[in-house]
Amino acid sequence: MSDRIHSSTGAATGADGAFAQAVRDALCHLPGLGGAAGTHAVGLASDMAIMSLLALSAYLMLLVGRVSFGQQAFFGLGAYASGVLSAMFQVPLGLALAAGAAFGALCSWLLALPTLRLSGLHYAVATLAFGEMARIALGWWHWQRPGEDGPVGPAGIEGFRDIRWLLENDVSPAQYLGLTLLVLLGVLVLLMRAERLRLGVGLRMVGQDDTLAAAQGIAVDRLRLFAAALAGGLAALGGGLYAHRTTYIEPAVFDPMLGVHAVGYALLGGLGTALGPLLGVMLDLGLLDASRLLPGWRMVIFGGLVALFLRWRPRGLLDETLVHRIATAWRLRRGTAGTPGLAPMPSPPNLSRRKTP
Amino acid sequence: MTGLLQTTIDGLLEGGSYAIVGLGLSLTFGSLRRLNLAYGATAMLAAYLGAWLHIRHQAPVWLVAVSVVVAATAIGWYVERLCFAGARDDTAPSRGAPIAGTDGREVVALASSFAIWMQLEQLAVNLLPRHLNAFPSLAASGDWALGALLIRPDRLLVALLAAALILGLAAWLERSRAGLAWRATADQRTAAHLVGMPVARLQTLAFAVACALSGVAAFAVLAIDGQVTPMFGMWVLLKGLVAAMLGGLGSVRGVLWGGLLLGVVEAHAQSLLGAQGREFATYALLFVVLVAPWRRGDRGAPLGGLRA
Amino acid sequence: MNLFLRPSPFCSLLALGAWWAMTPLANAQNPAPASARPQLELQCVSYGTGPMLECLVDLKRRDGAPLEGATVTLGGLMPSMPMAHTIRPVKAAATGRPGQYKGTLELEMLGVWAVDVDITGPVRDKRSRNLVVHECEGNARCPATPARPADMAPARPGAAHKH
Repeated sequence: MSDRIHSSTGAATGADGAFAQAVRDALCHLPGLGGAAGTHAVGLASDMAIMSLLALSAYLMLLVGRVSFGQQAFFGLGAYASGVLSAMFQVPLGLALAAGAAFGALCSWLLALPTLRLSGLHYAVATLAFGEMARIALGWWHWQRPGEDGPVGPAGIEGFRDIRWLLENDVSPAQYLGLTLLVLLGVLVLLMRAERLRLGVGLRMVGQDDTLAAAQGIAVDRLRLFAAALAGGLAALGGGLYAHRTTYIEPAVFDPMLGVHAVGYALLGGLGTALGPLLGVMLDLGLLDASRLLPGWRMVIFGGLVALFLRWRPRGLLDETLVHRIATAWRLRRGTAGTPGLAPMPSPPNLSRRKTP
Repeated sequence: MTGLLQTTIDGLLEGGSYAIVGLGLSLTFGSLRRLNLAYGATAMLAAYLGAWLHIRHQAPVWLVAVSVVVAATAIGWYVERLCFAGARDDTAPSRGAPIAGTDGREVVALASSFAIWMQLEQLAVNLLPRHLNAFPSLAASGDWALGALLIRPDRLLVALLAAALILGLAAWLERSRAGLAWRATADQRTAAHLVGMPVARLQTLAFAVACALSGVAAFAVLAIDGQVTPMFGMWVLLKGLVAAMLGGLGSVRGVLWGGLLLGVVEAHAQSLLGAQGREFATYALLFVVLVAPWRRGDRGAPLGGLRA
Repeated sequence: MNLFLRPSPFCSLLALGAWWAMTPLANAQNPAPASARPQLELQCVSYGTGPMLECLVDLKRRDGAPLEGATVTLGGLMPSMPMAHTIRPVKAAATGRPGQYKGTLELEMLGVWAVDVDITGPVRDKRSRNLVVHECEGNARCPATPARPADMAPARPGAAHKH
């Protein structure tokens, strides 16, 4: 970052550019972000943020009661779509990411239509099949346009190189991390807000028991389609961020193990809140991988943890009960009497003989 | 014309491998109503153990074969303990399973089995880190000529083995008392329990047999190849899954037809669209079979029961 | 859809961030145009357990002159499992020969790796090459070969034997 030339006669115009420049300078001089160690930390944080988006997409599908092993397909489709737009058509980053997310949402919605009535098992296998079909199809796709330094575009199985939007616009890795974190924060705020509205409650009801939810008048199919579209959009957004971070993508990246890991993070971290998948990602990528704790055994430990949790704590670490307890304790601590909004969902009844609830 | 026939015959022979690979998966689903996603990884870890014995200790072929089958059974016991033991008690209320509802427990077991899949794959790769590992090879050196057609004798042997195992198992399920007991516990667990059958033991036994069969399949397929790679686990799972689903999960003879159909479709897809086209055709076939509108009847709930 | 019940600090932060993210990034201060990209030659050898990967980077400008004084950072990831197997990026030091830099990466596994070469300094660029890292016996050093498309597609049993 210190290598950038701070020119005051740059292309920035007016107050917009000056303020933005000031913000970028402030970020630039954050301590400890230079050198190889800083690069590693920034890179790790970016990876964790991007993976969190994919894990959130799997979490959304789990909320409505579906295990989806195909989210990596939308991750890949979003990566290719936003890469194509920014590298081949010089579309600004924000627009390319948004368009990629919209494309991913559309594809996910289209997939959800025929698979709506499948049982959990068949749905999981169908999404796995779709994921592989998408990956192979991306390996066939050749579309290149002449660029400044040779042809640029998806080149089939060799992948899509030179997605250089960040380089050409001189965005440093730390700035990009800031952007990624902002996107993640926005998504989290959106999801956590939606939890307290009818939409979020409805999604959870569909996941718990769709027959009962339908009997209460909830449009189960429409909610499932909506959840699928949102999940696809999130995965595609993560894919777009990934493509620009690494500047090249190839179909081999989007293999089923990626989707399986995403579901694992959501299941381990907890299905009670949107922060659950983040916890799962931090446990795996942060704790196990980056700390080099028992390097060759990461997946053994992680897989074992997920299986054990499914046996004894099926809704993960941050399950609904724990989230409710934390929220209640928080509310009591703040001493708020009568918070406007919906009342929280009741905790499961305590059928033991003890008097304390 | 001979080209078409040759492709079909190649496909049928390859389909024999798919059928034998899918047999254990179908058996597990039939008797436990659960899909074991760790199936491929079980076979892979067992195969890696066999390869390790072969590479490091120069074990003879028969020892490798026996050890692969035994290892697969042992690993299967571990998987069953961890993921599917809860499956034997469907009537107990589910304690907040991640996916509740009619098929909640099935999906819980599915989810935990994929976690074990990750675990077993990592263990296998830790054992033998290379990409290509030698496996005792029983490959035939030449092809048999039948007129203008070429038939690979080793593939033919595996296909015949698959047919023998599948038809034998189907006959056993239909004709013998023990087979009847298996089918009874698969169809009506509670009723079987009420008449005094050891349901838990039978289901554990069925699972163990399914994993042992996966070991047999792994050995047969890898002995033709002469090598094993880290991709083997995914290959076993996906091909076995497609073969089993095409024939109807839980139907033993169906796996044979499903495997043969898959082999033929793949062979023709390869001749038309190349290697990648072949893979695409596999998944497209699976997808179409799953979302097919004419299967409206049995899509809502998982198919249950073991059918010969 | 009534998503936001009332304004909150989060929403303001979000709006600010969105505006910052979208508008100023289009105004490039020091763009790295494609025409100024250096030419790159990468040669890597693997050795030891780990394995370790020692890479030599040769950078030349467009006109053929070696690119000196660049800050080169080497990184890597496994294409088949992109966000796992994080390896620490390593700064490649100048070897003395003009335009040449050397660094050693600690890899976790054998197989296909995408080695990233991150260049800051006079020009800013990021390149990568897919290399197959082989196992090397004893003290020998084995060169890592460029990955062919066949290496990228997952292998299936029986692929080696065809009529």
